[in-house]
Amino acid sequence: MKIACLSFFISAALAWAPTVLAQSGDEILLQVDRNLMPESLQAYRKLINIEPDGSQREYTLFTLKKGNDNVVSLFLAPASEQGRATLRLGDNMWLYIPDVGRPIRITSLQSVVGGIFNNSDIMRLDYHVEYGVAELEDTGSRYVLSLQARSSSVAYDRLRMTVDKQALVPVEIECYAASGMLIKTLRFEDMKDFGGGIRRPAVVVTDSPLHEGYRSVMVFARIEAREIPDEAFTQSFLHRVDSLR
Amino acid sequence: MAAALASARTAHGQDYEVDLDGLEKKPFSFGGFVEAEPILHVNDLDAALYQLRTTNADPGRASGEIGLGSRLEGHFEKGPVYLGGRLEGGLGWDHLGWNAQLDLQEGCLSFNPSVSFGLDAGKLVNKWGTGYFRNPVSFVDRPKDPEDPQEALEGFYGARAELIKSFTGPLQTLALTPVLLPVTEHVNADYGQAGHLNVAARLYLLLWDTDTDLVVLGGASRPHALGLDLARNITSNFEVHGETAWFVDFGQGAASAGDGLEPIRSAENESLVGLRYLNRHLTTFIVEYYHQGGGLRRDEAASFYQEVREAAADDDPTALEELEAAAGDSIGTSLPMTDYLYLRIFQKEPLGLIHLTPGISSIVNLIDRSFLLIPELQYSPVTNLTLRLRAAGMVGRRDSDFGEKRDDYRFELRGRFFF
Repeated sequence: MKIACLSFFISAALAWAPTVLAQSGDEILLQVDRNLMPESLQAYRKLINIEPDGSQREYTLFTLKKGNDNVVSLFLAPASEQGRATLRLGDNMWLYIPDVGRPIRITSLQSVVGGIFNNSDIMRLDYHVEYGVAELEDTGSRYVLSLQARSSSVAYDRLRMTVDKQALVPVEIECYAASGMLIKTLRFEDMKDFGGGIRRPAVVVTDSPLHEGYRSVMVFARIEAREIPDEAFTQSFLHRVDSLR
Repeated sequence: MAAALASARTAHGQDYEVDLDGLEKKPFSFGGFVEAEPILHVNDLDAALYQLRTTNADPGRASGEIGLGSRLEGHFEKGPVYLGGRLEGGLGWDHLGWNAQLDLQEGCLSFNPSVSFGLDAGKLVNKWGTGYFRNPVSFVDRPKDPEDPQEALEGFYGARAELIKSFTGPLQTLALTPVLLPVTEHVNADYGQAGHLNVAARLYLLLWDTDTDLVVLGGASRPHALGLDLARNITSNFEVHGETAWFVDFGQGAASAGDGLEPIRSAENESLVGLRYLNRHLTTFIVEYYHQGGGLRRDEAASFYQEVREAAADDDPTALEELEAAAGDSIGTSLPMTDYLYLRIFQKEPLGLIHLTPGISSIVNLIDRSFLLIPELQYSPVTNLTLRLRAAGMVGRRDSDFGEKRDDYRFELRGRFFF
């Protein structure tokens, strides 16, 4: 009986293993994206900029995402930023400031919150949309994916993504400029069950050799799958995003 | 009752908490800011606009001004119904004494039954146009202050509908915004001629990654107008924009030979083209060229300045008062002439100095080569507090636009605390 069971598990494992081994880098990346974010979602998160002296600035954001390239974020706090909203449609990004005129076009390199996070970190699309897998390395418990930007409009030319093999979520991402210079490192920490089948790291800690002593932390408080009308991702709707909370 | 918290822990053992109760949407919301702003003017005693604006009391070469203000914003939202407003008030002191004001700047009742449709009625700000310092197609708003274009504007009373539709393909978004704006002796009296209901509309298209607006204004309070604006990213860090408006039956008030206001042109164009560029050091450049077809020509402006100087030399307060009234919407405005170049450069967090943004802005009158230069420093020492230190210098010879402004120099310090 024991031998029969053992042979069953060995056969099952052999049948399963080639499937995993055969997974291409692009398939792994797609799965990483799906594990980090459902295709259509709403999320609440806090961005914390930590300065060398330990002082902190916190921003609370409500975010909606739909499909591969639609993201809108609304600042809920602090008071000085309340009502600001950012919209991303593919490579197009806008910032809406309630006092100022219509939404202005912004770039992925800028940062609406200062600190180490730039706009592309805050309004991030799925990785597989912006990057292709140039190389896949299997280190035993982890995959290491070398990702190359699909276009020059992306903030980082190259990423080195270390992926936990079991959970298929990133552990660390190094972001490089086209010159090969390391711009920043993102560390994904504290695996959490957000409900609805969403299990992912709740914290992303970012530091940069260009900003010695500074750190930025993104803490996800809630992530929920949600159906959202396409019209929510339009310039004209930015002043009403709060109505979808 | 204990607050609901979401906590997260980093690999270094640092704990972060998010107050989930605080994230819950509440039907009521209030906020705003308080501010203080002392200003020092170094006046140009020989300038035409100094002589025109100081007929009642002469403040002398240096004069001070203090503004203490506050803004209160609030809204109530239940289902598709939204009621919100922005109230601004303040106390001001200058060489004439103290003054106080309290105004409803914006306030509306909205009905938003779906994401793609909304109705607003009340005092509305519409924010049309793609330009940074000027918006020729902004037919139903007050003009921006070109020296401070990011400040909120006061609205006009009216009604507005908004229909939005998204598509896949080259046309990604279509939005239609019709606006009704009545003008009576008591409502929107400063918009234009009273006794008319004005109709404006904007058709917005996001087409081939380009923001495109077609705007139209009909009604009898102001000249009929048609406008087009565009904005597009050429590369991710390089944006171009432009807008143009045609006005039919345009009447520009011009002072000439003591005749006071006189309509001098019947149809004019107002246009702006500009760019916004961010370099790899995160320095932002904004450059805009603005043409105002109905603006004053050089000889018209020079003639006006000459009249002011003569009235001042004759010590004739009646003539000065008449000229000040005539200046009204033309030479008394911040951009009275036909062609201007705007330049703004700002650097976010230079040399690792976080929360500091130095910048410089300039408005150049391309006709008489006079210009305004505004260096500034913005700093946010703690959350919700912003400080802004600005200086303004007007450079130009006699009979030039900026050479005849009231100030030679101006120094401003503004502190604003948000709550």
